[in-house]
Amino acid sequence: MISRPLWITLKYLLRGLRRRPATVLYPFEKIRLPYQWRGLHRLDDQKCTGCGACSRSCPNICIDIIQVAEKKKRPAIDIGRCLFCGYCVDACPFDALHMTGNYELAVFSRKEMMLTPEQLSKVEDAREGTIDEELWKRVYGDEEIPAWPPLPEKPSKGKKEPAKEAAKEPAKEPAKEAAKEPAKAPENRPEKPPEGGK
Amino acid sequence: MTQMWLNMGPQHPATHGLWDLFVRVDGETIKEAQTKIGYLHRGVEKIAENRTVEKFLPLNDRLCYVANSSWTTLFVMGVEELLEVTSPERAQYIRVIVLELQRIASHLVWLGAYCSDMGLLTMILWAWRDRELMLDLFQFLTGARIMHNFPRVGGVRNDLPPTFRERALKAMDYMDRMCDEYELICGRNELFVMRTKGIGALPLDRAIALGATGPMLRASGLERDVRKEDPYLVYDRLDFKVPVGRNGDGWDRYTVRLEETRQSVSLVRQCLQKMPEGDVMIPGFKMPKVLPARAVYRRAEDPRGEGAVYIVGDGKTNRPYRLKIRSPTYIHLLGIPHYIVGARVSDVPIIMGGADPCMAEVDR
Amino acid sequence: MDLYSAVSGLVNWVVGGLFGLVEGLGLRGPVVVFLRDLYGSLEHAIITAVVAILVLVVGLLMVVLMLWIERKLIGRLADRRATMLGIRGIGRGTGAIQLFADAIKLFVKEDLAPKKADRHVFAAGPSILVASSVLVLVAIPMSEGFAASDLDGGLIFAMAVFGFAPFAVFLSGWSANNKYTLIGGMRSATQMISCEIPFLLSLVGVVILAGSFRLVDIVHMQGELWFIVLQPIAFVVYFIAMISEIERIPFDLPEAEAELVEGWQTEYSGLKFAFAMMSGYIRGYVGCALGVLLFFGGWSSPVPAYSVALPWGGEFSGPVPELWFLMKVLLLFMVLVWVRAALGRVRVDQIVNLGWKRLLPLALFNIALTVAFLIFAPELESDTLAMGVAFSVPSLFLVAMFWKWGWFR
Repeated sequence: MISRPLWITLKYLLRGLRRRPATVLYPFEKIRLPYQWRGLHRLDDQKCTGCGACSRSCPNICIDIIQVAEKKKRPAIDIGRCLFCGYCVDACPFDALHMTGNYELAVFSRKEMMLTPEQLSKVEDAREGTIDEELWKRVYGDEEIPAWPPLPEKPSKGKKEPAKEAAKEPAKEPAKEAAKEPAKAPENRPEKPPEGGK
Repeated sequence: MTQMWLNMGPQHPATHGLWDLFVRVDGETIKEAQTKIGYLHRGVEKIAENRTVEKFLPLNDRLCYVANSSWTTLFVMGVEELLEVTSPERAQYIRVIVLELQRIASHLVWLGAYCSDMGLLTMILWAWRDRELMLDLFQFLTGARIMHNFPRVGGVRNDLPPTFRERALKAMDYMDRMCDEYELICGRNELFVMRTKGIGALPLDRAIALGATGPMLRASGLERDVRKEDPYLVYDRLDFKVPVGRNGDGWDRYTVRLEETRQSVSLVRQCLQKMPEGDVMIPGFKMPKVLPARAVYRRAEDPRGEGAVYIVGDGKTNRPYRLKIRSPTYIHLLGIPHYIVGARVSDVPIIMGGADPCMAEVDR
Repeated sequence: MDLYSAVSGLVNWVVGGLFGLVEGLGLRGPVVVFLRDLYGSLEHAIITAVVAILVLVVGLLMVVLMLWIERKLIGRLADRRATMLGIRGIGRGTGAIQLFADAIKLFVKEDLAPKKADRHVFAAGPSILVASSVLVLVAIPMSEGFAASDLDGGLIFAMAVFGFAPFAVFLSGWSANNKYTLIGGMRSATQMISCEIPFLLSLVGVVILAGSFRLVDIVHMQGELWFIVLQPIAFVVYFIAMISEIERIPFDLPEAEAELVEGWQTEYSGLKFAFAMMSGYIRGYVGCALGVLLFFGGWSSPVPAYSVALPWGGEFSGPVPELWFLMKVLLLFMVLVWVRAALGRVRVDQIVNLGWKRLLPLALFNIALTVAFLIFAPELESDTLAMGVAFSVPSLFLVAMFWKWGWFR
């Protein structure tokens, strides 16, 4: 009757004395994120050529290619409009744009949400967290926990795990198609991206 | 006491979303009801007419904030049928895994909200805690917790990461144990039974007349599941049971959804075992520049019922000419006034919750 | 030592010291004489006021402690950690400042009233509720010494004032000019009325056994054997009726969040809301305290009397009855929290059903059983063990039979 729910809540109370309850005390404890987590973008300044493929593939017109120096164009992202969908990362042919695990993006004014290429290149890969194994131990008991794959050391290399690399190639096709089509979505953009292909 | 019109919503803790049930009560009994929806209308179908298919895909995720990949997969299946391509088998298995994990997550959200409307405060915490496991699996596989943006036309975005299989299998074992615990706190709880048995009973003929599909129809007694009738992806190769209720009241909806969760767990296990090697995307696939001038109607089993998408392409551009989304919850919510008459005000959250509203797909 | 005499000694010492200081400073004159006479006539009133404030402060501190325990315990029962915010670096994880933060937040909120609401009744509602809840604290002794008063009809007084709340809730619900609060107020009145009678009747058995309404006497009668052994049915009825009176889950339909947004408390903000919430917990404290006094032996403790020599001379003789009493109240309250965490809400017609059709006959049956034993076996009164067995066994047997028959559904 009513004894089952009473019994099971008591069991959780007693269990909570032995092991951790299911609470992560953010902001004192953070969860470690996997390597393909779609957080804030990071631009690799050396690899980017300013081709504009990311800008054309963005569904929400968040990326502008701006001139930062003579003969140097780089993307600027408005994270207020960004969906963090990852199309720009998929579309980049030079592997210059990656998404880090940085999700603490609150700012105080809307102007700070438009990130310049310089800010984008300085984004830190905040993937260190504290809680991962403990949570999985709580869920699965004391069995051996399958480890996350190792974190990449340099963003330009480690992102492509072998299994992912083979799958990434064909996955870039439709995004490349989007880049190859004439730009029609940004109708009301003040500055036209370069037409046609790269 | 005189009868009065009471406005339950749009800002109300029980409605799970932004809609309004306008009831006329006499004391505590409801004499008449009207549903008012449309507070969350964003014009998704109109937006689709101005976007290419790839650019529209992230917006499909926002069609239901609880079970997103089901809508994106449905849209992608519709486009694939329009273009007459088939995605490779491994991609289809991965899509089924994501769909079934979504179903588990969606039913957990439903269970949590259903119980919290009844005052069972612990159930919502447990449901959310176990949903975190599903979200962990999603963020490992797709990169984001809720808005996955995972299926693509012709396959999926990426393959399973290296240790995904072991984690998913362990998560499914855990979910099996947790379903038993939910039985203990909900199903064997006398107060839960008292609150849900006989409430909002929807007899079978009325259910069919009102257009109920999915768990609502199965709770009323008819065994109908799109995955069995009109199999899509690889559901015809997988083995699962379709749970059926009897009266269509709150209790039957609960048992049907809990059993569906268990069946989803078993489906994920089967998929992980049977998955073949191969590509996850059609090799060398390019989206054509022009959508063929045809119309396609594709339906799938959303966690809430039978969702369907109707895409019309004109032969001139690569944007759909018309996209129509059939939302199951829209039909259910409009049918609520017909069987809520005679219930009490206390039962309204139970009946509302039984239809599992997710307003983003109702208002689109 | 009596609380009154202790406080009077303290107050007299303080005032005497003040007057001595005044004299020592050389101030004499008609004003000082007037003040002395004033103090002489008002002495009783001042001491009573200090006693009342002391009891109120203890009660409110207990309420704060109970709120903290409730939040922490509900979290742990649901496999999560609750109320972790403490002062950074010190006490992080205890949640010590959460309640004070909540109180401060509620105090500084704007005090609204709906435009067409009956302003005076709207404001009076929570005040009456808190006033009636706090008034019961007068009648509850925490031990023989620590009691604001020891009324001859203490139990009757406590019950009478405790039952004043439905009136206040109904007034609040009606006056806010809001359909939700109206329904909430009606439901609350229905629920409280239907469970008030079993509430009172469950205590009749205890009173018959103890022979008086004085709470101190009732506790003394339980010296050998607690009344819960002798009156288990009465305890069950009292417990369920108490939860219904306090409006906690599983009976918190008047403030059901899901259906009526906060029920009768919807329109209250700021201090009035704080009062409404606080009165709930004060009534919880009062209910648990009465339960402990009536059924669990009040302040009796299992440890025998001991005395410990203090390092600065003097002696400390224990056990401290007040602390044992408070500990038992907290334990009973923890059972209430446990019930809240595990069970859902009951519909109002089911509550009424429960109150009239299930609890009331049980309470009457309990009274009949008690009276029957006292008439037909009065010689057993001296032998407590036999009395205990004679009472509890048939009661539990009948309750078990009813359980099996599904009478409780």
